[in-house]
Amino acid sequence: MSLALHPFDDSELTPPECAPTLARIQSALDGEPVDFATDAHATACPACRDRVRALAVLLGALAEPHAAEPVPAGFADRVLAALHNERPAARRSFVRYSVWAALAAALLVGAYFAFGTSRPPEGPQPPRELVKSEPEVAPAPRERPVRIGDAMAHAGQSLLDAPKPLTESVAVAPKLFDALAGPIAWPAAKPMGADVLEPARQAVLELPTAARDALEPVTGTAAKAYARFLRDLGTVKPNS
Amino acid sequence: MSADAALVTRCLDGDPAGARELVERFQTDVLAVCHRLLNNQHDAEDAAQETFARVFRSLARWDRTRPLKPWVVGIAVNRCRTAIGKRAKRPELADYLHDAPDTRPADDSAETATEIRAAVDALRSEYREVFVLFHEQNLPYEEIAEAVGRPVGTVKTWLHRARLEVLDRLRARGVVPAEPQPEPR
Ligand SMILES: [Zn+2]
Repeated sequence: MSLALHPFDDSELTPPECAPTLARIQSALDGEPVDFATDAHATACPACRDRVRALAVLLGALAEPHAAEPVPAGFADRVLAALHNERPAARRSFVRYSVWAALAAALLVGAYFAFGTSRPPEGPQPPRELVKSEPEVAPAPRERPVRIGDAMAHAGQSLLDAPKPLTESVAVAPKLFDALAGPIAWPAAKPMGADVLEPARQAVLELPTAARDALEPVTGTAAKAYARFLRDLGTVKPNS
Repeated sequence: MSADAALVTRCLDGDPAGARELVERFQTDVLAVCHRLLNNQHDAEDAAQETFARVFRSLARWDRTRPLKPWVVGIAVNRCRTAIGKRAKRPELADYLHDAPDTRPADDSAETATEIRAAVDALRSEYREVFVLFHEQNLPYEEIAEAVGRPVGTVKTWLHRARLEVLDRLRARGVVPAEPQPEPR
């Protein structure tokens, strides 16, 4: 990059007998006290003698307190303003990500219903009345933890197989999805009201236990992401 | 939680005062590194701004077990490398050289400082980075290693070679008097 030549680039070319003196020079530049008066080579070798004198000049210059460049006026303001202008894009992409996350959750719910209701029961069946009288409980926790990849694969299949129930489960918070469908203005002029957020919260609370179990492997992240998602939504205003 | 980690947490939580505090805590160091590596006020400010943009974008990836400053300085060094790379593609390659101090040194010490600066500027980029970070920013070897993303051993090798090149350039430029001076007793 530099236009200057580097005549001293290969310092391995220094004669080996210079090495102890060069090591002392390095120690001095590391801030250690070094006495060159006892270094016979530092006097005998013309190159090292000059280096030691140059060292004194360099150490003197480096010891000079140099005033830090003044920070240009308004620098922090400009950085923060640029950051603020950048943020809507970042938030929008987060919201887009969150929509996908919400859809994935919805897919899992859909998958649960699709598989839970369409799979033919195995073994002898109890009488119809008995089935009816049983409360709607979630299936017992599975022995093998659900892998999110498998769950998503099943969910994808259920999307192909049963689009209608899926649409219905996604539509559980219509205002929320309606709000997300439009372009988003930032910052919010008017925060999104409880009339939109409440159904969304409710929808999550009403997720069947099985669906929550299925989400178990991702709960930590998902819960945090969803909490942030809802918090952020509170300040998002749909463009009409 | 360390003070660094607490500040980063506030920034990640979207606290504007936290973001301002982070900028104000590091702006002097970041600007100094950028100015020293780019030798141009305008380019330095651009690179410093880009540094903070990158810092905020990557904040969640900062390793909380490590100090924040070398991480931030490392991002600044990277932005400078990018700026130097772009500059090399510009046809007016040597324009930035004209941005050097425009007044002749008034005395010997100023002249010496200018010579030293020229010697450091003539170093290849890795050597110049570690020289500036060690001797002008006073970062310890470990933090320089963090900042430039190389092992401490490599940083020491680069710095030792950088120093020898600077000394030999000062010799070659006659900054050191040719005749040995009597030792003060
Ligand atoms: Zn020698």
